[in-house]
Amino acid sequence: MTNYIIAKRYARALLETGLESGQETLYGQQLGMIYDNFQQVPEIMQIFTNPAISRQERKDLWRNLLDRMNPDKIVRNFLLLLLDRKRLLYFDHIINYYNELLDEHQGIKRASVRSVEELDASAVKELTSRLEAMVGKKIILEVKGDPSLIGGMVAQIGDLVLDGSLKNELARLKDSLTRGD
Amino acid sequence: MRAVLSLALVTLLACPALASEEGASMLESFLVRTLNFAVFFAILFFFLRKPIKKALAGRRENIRQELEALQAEKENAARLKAEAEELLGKAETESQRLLMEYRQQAEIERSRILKEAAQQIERMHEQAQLTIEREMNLAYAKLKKELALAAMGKAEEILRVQVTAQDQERLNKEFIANLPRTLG
Repeated sequence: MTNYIIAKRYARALLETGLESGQETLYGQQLGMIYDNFQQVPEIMQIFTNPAISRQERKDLWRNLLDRMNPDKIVRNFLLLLLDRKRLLYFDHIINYYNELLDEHQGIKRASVRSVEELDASAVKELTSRLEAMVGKKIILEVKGDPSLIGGMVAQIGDLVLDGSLKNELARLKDSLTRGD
Repeated sequence: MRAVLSLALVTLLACPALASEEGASMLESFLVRTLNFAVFFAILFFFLRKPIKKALAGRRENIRQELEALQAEKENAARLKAEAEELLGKAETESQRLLMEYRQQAEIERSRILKEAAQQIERMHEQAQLTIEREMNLAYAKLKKELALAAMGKAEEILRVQVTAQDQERLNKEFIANLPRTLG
């Protein structure tokens, strides 16, 4: 819980800075790119949290890595601040919350949809359109295949889950039978 | 005085002996002896009257006291006997009362125990009924669940095999068409 509170504070601060400069989308993209790079080499995070390595060495290494990725100056300073304040551990929470705040600011909702077979472009378009009409915001839809659903699809927008799968129908039927309804 | 009387007594005692020695007649001897006896008796009476009287009075007093004591003891014994009889009577009554009371209590206790036993039996019977019902319900629910699981498992197998691409497309279209127009 504390992690989220800290992450929200940092993410909000960066977004406000980005909004002032009009670079909020760029900051989000660069944060995501840097985080994705780190994800490919998980050991890097261990280096930055290892007390056997001196603070200065960690800072130098972090600065070198950032120089190679060449992010915006604000993003660079923000990431250096995270290291200084020992908040690099919450990098993933910060990015997630930054994206949430950014989406909220831009009137965007992220949604995911799972179906047994990949949806064709027209189905995706129609689904996106219906979801946008439903929530009243622009929808960025992520489509995934999920054979376990047996049939139909499941859409999720934030906490809202719309389950139209045969798997769910079977589960409801089973529940109804075992409860004696 | 006592010394003179004692001397006279000794002298008188010696007279019969003197009379026989001098060969007096039988009548004289008789008279002397009688006189002697009378004097002797008088002396004895004189000397012994008071002590004997005193002794007899003492004896009489003792006897009277003993009689009074015996009478008192008798009365005491009679009183004690009466008290004992009264106590015995009371004890008898009390024992009868206690016996009656114990019998009543025993009867009450017996009734209570019988009632409790009957209630206990009733409770056990009800509990057994509930247990049987619960176990039957559980068994029924378990069987129902197993049947449902088996049926659903089979249905899933069939659906996985029989749902075609066309079915999938139709399901997707239905899902999209049935999406709510607005949230809430």
